[in-house]
Amino acid sequence: MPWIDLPADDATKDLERATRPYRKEGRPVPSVIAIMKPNVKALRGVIQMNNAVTFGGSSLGQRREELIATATSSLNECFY
Amino acid sequence: MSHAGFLRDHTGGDSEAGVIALVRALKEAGDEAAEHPLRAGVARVHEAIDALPPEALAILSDGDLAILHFTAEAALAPRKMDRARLAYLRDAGFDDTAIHDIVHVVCCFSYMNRLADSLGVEVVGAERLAWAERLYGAEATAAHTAWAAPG
Repeated sequence: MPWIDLPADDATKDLERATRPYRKEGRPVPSVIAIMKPNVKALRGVIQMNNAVTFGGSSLGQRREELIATATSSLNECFY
Repeated sequence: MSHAGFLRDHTGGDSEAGVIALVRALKEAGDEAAEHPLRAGVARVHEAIDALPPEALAILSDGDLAILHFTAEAALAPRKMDRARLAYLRDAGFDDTAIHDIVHVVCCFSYMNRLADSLGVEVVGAERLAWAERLYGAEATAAHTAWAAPG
């Protein structure tokens, strides 16, 4: 459980809309995304940025993006 | 760690052994780097990249290694960056768009790391925890679970 209280996915219309794609895929909102539920504008903005520069969204190709993600998280000793 | 999983699944050869060796070497170097002043800490990471074991090198190209060296600078010591350091990447054939994108990906995951670690985001699910144990070891995974647990 995260260290702050998080609203339910359907606590507001905006949040329900922002988290709908995960429910459509039949999976929970990933915990590192769910942690932003207190600020739905930030949640939406971060998802947009992630899609623009990762998940194959950059000129590098997804394998190299994931290599950088893996290296950054390892250097920061972060499990994510 | 899902990113390491992607790397494992989209790299040829014995990619799991290579990814695990890479992650453990960088994690250990990152841990040591945190105990040193910025430049000395990053130098320690460069040494670790130069000394990666054969199973890790087997899944990495020369371009990948240049990216790793640059990532160490951008993730751990951005305030020490200078124009000359982009030579790492230009010498390896990356153009300005690619350099921009490398920096952006480092920034994006540095942001996500800080969000996760500052608010107690933990790894959940049996499959993901099993991968975490293979990747980081049982002791580190148990420490992660204890870290995130309610006080």
